[in-house]
Amino acid sequence: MKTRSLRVIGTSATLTEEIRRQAAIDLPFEINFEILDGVSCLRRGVMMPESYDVYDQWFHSVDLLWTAGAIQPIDTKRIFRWPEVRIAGQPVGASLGKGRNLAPQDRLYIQDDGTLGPKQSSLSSPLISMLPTTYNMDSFAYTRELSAELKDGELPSWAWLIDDRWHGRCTLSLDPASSVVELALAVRSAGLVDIENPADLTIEEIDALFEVLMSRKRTGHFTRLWASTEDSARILAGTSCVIGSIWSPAFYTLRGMGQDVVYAAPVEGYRGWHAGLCLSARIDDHTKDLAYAYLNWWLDGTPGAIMARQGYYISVVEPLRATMSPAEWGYWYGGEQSTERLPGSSGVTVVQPGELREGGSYLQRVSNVSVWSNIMSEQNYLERRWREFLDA
Amino acid sequence: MATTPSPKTAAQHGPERTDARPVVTGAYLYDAVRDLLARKIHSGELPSGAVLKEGTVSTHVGVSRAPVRRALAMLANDGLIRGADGQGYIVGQGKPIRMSNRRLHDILVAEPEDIDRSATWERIFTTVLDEVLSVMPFGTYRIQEAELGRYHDVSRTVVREVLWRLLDRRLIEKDRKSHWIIGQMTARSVRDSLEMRRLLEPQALGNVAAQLDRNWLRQLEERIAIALAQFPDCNPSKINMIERDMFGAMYDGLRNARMLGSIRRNQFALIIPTLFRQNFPNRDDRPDLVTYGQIVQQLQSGTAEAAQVLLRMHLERAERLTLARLRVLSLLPPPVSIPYLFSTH
Repeated sequence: MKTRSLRVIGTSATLTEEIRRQAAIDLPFEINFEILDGVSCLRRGVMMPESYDVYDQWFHSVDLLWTAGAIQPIDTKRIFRWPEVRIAGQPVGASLGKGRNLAPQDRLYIQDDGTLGPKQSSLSSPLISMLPTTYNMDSFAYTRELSAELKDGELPSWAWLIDDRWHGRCTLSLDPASSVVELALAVRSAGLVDIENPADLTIEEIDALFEVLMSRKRTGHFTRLWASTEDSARILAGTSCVIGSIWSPAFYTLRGMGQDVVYAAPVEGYRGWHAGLCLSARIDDHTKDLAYAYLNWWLDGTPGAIMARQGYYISVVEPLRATMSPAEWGYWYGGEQSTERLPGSSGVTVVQPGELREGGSYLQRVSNVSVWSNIMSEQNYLERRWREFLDA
Repeated sequence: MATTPSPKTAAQHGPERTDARPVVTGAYLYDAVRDLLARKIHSGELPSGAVLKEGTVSTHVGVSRAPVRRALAMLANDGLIRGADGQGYIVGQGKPIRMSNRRLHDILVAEPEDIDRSATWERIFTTVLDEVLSVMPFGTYRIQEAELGRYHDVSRTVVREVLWRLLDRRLIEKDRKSHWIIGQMTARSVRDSLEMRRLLEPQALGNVAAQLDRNWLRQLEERIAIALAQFPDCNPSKINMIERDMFGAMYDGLRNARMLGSIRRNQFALIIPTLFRQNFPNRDDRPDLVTYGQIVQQLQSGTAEAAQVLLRMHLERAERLTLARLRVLSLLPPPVSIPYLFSTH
């Protein structure tokens, strides 16, 4: 007899213990989360669609998942809050500020010819490749120790990631999907390499970028690179690291531990990312019903509040008014000073009264995205250079 | 946790072959002739008493006398035939029987593919070519000459011959240390090659159109129609074979050797759909198959201009899908190793 259960693969960024526990309470079927690192998750998603029912990761993975035939269309008719869905806070189809190139919505709709594109198909209820859920604007965190070494009035810049002043004390993600874009922003800001579009590097730009990175790596500029949120918090909490490109859950974990760290709003703008949920191409009809229930649940307010408490935004905000306190909404989304102690997703206090989120409200932060994470045209060349960099 | 499967490569799981290793018996002509004659003797088609003369066998089989002489000597040594006092050889122990030239010819050329008359390098070239192409999307590789020779059981001279031809196709290069290097396939190299193909292939198609064999075209059209009727359940190797004919055999008769050389040098990205189909289900190939069918129909009805336009359109459309598939391939772990190829990253 088939048990009613749903298999979800994703990363620790969204498949958190709090989400799992809440889903178990709210949904009348069993849900199994399989948590993988970013690269393994994408690889599994592409090569073994029979091994999962729902895929939860970044929007740019859709390019590969769709081409490989690993996912199937999502019928927006079955998504009850579809009319309320916003991509990065903007109505679907709107422009996304400075980081326009290959914004998440460019691959949202399934076109009449079976390809993905930014325009709704001729169907009255469009088919989409991925249901947009969480998103955020990322940068890096630094310690007070580093602040002490700054010049007067010096503003945070991505160039700090390769700055000699903190040689040997910088960490990065092992995942090239986020790190390469950030390092491209860094070398461009430092004036070392001319880069036209950090989200879509040419062969020459990749070579020039890696020439800088390999020499930094060999001389020991970077400390250990991190593989997961927990890992990144551990590294930055240690004494050997003063700056690191980390994600907001790790930053708020550090704040919850009482660490005196600052999240930067870089002058060049943020690296934006958008995540979502996909349906496996191999899912059977029965399990598909469970999957749609799970997708709808994600937009219902409760998961959005859990995600907000680790600094992530969600594509449907209306129900959050009911699932978050006004003080929480004010700090996480409104960009207002917090009026009370706010809990993180695990319940520990991560925001003290009087604190302000860097970069302002969610709409201000979105408008300050410089680059969206992306699968680059020269992806296979980049992957090879990245492996070379890791092995150096 | 489920393990991630290794991708298949054309060379290892190529649908056109069941084994990546070439059949080494037959690497020399005399071996091939000896095998052919031995098979015909064992099967009884060449009866006991049949007379085999060097000159006649040479004429019927279409190879020079030297390898035939050596093959006959070897068969005599094996006791399958015996010398007939300077009058050639006699099969088995029976009394000599005279066979008409016609009959001997029918027996010997019933399977004309029995003897591969090409030079040794030609016999392993396609295999090595596929092996080299199959790793190109995954990184930069170095070819170890001696290992290549061992793997394919050929001499250093033959290895060199193959490598120089791969160099001529711009698939490999020599680095400063004089190592043979297979450069990685990049989005740019794919785009550039497709730009060249758009310039060259419609012209080439126009040049060969009039001389294409109608029978061959009709059969190709049938195969395309079958693949389309079965799509997406058709065997991916059938689509690979259709593409080999559409872009390979189609131009074989091109008189302009320079043009043909340039075309072949720019077709390396055809490995992308082949590798892709081995790892992922059929889905996006239908429009291409439809176009192939239309091209072949136009060629049969003598409207080459229309075929050229269709081909150009196909080559324009191919870019987006080819590049998307290359990005997917970049995610796969590098293919299972081929012993003479060493990843340099």
